[in-house]
Amino acid sequence: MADVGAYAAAFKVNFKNMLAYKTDIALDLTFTILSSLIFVFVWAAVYYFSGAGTLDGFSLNGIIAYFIVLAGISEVTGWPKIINNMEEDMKEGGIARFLIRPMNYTTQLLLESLPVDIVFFTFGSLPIIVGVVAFGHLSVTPSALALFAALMVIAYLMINIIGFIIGSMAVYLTSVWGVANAVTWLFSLAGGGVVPLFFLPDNIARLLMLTPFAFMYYIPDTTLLGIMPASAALQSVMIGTLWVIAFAIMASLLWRKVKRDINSVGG
Amino acid sequence: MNNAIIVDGVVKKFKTYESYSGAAGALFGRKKKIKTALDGVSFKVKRGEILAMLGRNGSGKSTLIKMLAGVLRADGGAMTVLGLDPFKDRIRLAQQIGVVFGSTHPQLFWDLPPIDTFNYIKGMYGISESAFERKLERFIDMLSLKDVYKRQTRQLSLGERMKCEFVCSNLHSPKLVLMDEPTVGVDLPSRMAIGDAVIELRKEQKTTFVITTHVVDDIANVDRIVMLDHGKLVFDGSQEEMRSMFKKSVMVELYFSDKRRIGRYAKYGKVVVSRDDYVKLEMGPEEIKRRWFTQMLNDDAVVDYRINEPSLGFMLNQMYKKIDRDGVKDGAENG
Repeated sequence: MADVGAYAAAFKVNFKNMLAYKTDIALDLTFTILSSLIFVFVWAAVYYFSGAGTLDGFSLNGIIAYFIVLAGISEVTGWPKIINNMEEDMKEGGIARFLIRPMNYTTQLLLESLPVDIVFFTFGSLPIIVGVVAFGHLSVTPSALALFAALMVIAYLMINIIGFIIGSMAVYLTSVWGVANAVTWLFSLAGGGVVPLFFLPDNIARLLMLTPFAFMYYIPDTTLLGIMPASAALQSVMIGTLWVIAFAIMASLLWRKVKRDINSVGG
Repeated sequence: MNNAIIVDGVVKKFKTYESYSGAAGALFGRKKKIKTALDGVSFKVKRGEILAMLGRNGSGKSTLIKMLAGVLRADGGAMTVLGLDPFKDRIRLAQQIGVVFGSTHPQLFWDLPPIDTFNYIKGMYGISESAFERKLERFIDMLSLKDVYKRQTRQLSLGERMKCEFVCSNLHSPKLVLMDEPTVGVDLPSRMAIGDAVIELRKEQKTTFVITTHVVDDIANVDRIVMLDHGKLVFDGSQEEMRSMFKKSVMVELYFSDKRRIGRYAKYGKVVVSRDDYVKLEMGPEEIKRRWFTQMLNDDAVVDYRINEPSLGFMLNQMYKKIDRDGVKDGAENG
């Protein structure tokens, strides 16, 4: 097992490497925010044309706050950045350069994607969330903030483990991009990324709240905004933790098989 | 434990897929094939030995290097590298070995200068600051990298990059270095610098090297050669042993003032090259003792001549021809 110095060295060089692509990252960051904010305008139009002040008890301001926070959350949970180089690694044998180092492949992938996630969180998620809390006249309690932070960590781990599972399938599939896009689209649709779950029928909403989908957007979002009671959020932390463990076990079992089937061509 | 590597009857098979012909065929499926990349390969490498692994493209060399590095798992047989199972003990083994994957899977970060990758390796292997400084200085000197290692990798020539890749794989003083075609496309000075560094490191640290290559110059200083073809080991021995297989012939190069006279002597040997006033003949060593040979050398039309043993490259080519003649069973089979 590698020591702390090895992890620090890997993080440092990956961070420096990421800075070489700062323009690319800045553009990616900006357009991720903008694409999420499109829903603010879509829902503003829905409220405007419905003529109602509230829909299902939710005001337009409440919905705007929901989608602005969602824009911040999706910077971290919208796309598993861990997957970006995995297909190439698996198919063209690039994985060999990771496996000759005394460190787990998964850890190296995480250390490669972590700098980008940190930048997205620091310059995307954080200003948006702080801005909504500071200027949105919202009363965010310390417990809601703590639960939100815990749920974000869960969502981050979950999306990356799922990304790793999809990326590992590159050994068996011609391309994993179709699967990756389908899964992230499903997360968005069933996780409150397009329609907040409180607009769905109760039984469907309750069911979706138990699935991994809701952890990517709806649960952390409504926890921060105080829509979800602290007790329900705490329950979600526990359910989310179980999902993370389940996905980690799945990923570990799959990886055991995948690493036996890697071709690692070329040379 | 005298052996750095023990490979015993190792088998590796890959699944490959073949599309049916035509667009409709491609739409409805593909045919699975099993390709045997390595078929019962066995050999040993002593500690401190420099071994060249030769073979045509697709012969299984790179697959074997990846298996020795723990990247790929063997489907049959057994192998130990520095006393460890390379696949099961990959991380422990990685602490003790260095690997150069040529230009195919570089370790260097493309957008950063090599010094950043060197520093990363320093942290990865826990090399102390003083040891790192000392080793880096040594490599900079050995491989003439003074004006190279602080420039962005993408701006370096292939030769400069490969020298830096070599440093990446040796900074932590590994006991064994696996090099997979480290000199493909690399200029002569860089190739020679890497070759000299291999010799130096073996001398200083008793490092074991396994080098796969197609470049004949790379094997000039190796202790032993193993040759693979269609996944099978077809030769295991020293250069001398390989030479002895083909010593039955000598190469005679003749330069003529009158090219019309070439035909008179060409019949005495096998013409390897013939152009204008020059002919290269392969013939049995007994031929040069014959009378016609002395007459030929005294012929006014022969302005210059050279008599050599076959070059290493020629011998290797003969070896490949011999393999083709004797026939190594193709490893591809339907599955």
